[in-house]
Amino acid sequence: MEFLYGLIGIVIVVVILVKLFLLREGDAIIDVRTDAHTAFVVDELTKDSVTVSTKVEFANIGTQCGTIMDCYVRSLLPYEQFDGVKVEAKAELDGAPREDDYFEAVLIQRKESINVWVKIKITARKTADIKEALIDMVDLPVDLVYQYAARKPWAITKKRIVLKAEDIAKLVGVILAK
Amino acid sequence: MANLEIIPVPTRILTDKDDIIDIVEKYAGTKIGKNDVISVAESVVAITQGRIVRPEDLTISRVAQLLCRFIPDYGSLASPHGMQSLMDIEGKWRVTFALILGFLAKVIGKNGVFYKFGGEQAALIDDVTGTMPPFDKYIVYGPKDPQTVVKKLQERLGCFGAVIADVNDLKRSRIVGVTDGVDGDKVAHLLIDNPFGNASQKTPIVIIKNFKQYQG
Repeated sequence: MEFLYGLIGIVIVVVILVKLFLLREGDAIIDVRTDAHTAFVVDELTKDSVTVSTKVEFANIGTQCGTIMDCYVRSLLPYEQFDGVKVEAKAELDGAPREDDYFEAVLIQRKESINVWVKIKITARKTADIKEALIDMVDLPVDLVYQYAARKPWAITKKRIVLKAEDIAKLVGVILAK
Repeated sequence: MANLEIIPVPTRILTDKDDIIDIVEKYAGTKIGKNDVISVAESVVAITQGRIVRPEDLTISRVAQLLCRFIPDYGSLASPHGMQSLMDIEGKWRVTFALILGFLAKVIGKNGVFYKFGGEQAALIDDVTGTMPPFDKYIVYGPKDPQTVVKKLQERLGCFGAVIADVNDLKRSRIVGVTDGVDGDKVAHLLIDNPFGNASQKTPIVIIKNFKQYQG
């Protein structure tokens, strides 16, 4: 009986020690700071399209290395709401531009950050003039979707950014219709 | 005496649809001589053998989630999917036992015990980000039958020898497979500066010219 009690005692001590170890080690915490994204800037303005971008910080505020396995941007402008433009969007790692829209998996060391550019291309659909099309523009929400992993199994989550109609109008120099 | 020379050979991206022997012959066949050693990157050999798995395709156990916490966060087994991929190949209980043994050995100051008893894949698995796109989103196992692969390479190319090497930018250089008569340690030393390049540089083949004379 004493042996059994001893064994149970050892198991309890080991479990407590493991839990304390895990608590001390912590995990990666990826803070995607969409609330603090930079102001949108115009990358390219043509007769029928405009491309704008903003930079978002992905900060690892945790105590372990984290991995961004994938990242992409989902634009959310249904034609039921506004069918005057076509929207395409992508995520691009700062300092590693790619033309293929591929997002290469990247590590974020503890207490470090990476920056991701959200690029949005808006093309006129019913006219050849993007400025004319944007007169009736509405607010454009985009979701920044990312897959990440660290000490917990991988997960996918998303954060939202809104490109305001007033902002895009100001960037291309048009006045919105009332 | 002929000069020793290390020549990286660029290729297109290789996939599981490629045969590594055919590919090496295609890209390096005309450049290699009878005194040379052909060296192929370990992860690329594994990719051509289809030894890859997506984290999304694994069923991650609670044991894997727990055990990965005991691996330093820069290791390929530090993630639940990395650890699970090892368990799927080497067995859950073997890996668990090896980790406990490794922990106890570390307490008395002995390193490397986990990798000794955890199965050969323990040191060979590359987690996501470990290799070039599109395989940066995959876990890449070590190659299967490396000795057979290097023997076939040597026979096909008619060179002095062939090796499969696991080299990275952190000055780690290890020979996974080597033909008879080639000093693997000397090859590993020559490859220490990683002439294969990093993830996005497509140079999975390296020719070591005149290695026979260098080895003596």
